[in-house]
Amino acid sequence: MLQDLPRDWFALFGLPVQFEIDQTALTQSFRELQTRYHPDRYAQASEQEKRLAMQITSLLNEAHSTLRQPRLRARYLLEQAGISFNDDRDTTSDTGFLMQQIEWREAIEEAEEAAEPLETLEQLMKGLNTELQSLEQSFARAWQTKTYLDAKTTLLKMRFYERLLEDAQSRLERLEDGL
Amino acid sequence: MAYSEKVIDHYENPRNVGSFNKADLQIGTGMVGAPACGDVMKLQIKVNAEGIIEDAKFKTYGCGSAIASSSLLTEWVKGKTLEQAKQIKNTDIAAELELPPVKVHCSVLAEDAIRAAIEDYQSKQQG
Repeated sequence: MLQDLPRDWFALFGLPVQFEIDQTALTQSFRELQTRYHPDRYAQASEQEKRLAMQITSLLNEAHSTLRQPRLRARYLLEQAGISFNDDRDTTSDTGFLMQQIEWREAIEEAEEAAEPLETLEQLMKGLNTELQSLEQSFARAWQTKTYLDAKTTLLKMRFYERLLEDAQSRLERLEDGL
Repeated sequence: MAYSEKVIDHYENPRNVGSFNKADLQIGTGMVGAPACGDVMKLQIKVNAEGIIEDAKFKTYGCGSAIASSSLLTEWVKGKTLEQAKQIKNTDIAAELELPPVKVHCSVLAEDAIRAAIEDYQSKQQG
């Protein structure tokens, strides 16, 4: 029984294979499976079954944390479609996009000197979230139409916005701590 | 993760930080980003009439290794011809800075940036 789990992570949680996801259904299904395969329930089982239950628990955690995060979910979908990633070698050379990135970085740096630094940072983060959402929508369209290389290009841009958001968030927290 | 002393030195005292006017014909600008971590690097070279890189500047938004890689590279390319600068490999940068394997992509970024800057300069001369 333990071995019969679907290999595909969407199938594992009983979800359709697509970018848009029902987070509530994902969480609910994750909890059910987590309970069903909890190592405590295999305390009396054979050593082999205990080990399998452990492996399944860690697989469930990995699958769940991948699918719940849009960028990781997008990457999983592309990898399943045969698109490969090389984190050491993949670079982005889209000059227009990179110029925008530098402008965002500068805006975040300058926000601290603004008259209302907290509001300015919050406003910037709102803008960054909008950009991220629009990338997610582009990804969903590209994946649906199977234009996988476009989908990959879109996905690779997401990390840059996440990074900007992390940067803005930590500056925001530092400012709030200082108040 | 422990940075090497060389990385810390370049990180704390980055060489050649700044910008040249992108529109200047003598200037080549290379921009690259690392999608794995969101780092962005801008590297500019100033090339004289003899085809020698006489100055270089960079602006990098990223981790210590990315900053050190671009800082070191701007030092290395000064005084080199474009052909010589093209020969610089990311592995040379990674070796000099003793980058750990997880940070090798920062040196790849620097290599791609200098290539992009040279290409930008050369395409300007033809245009």
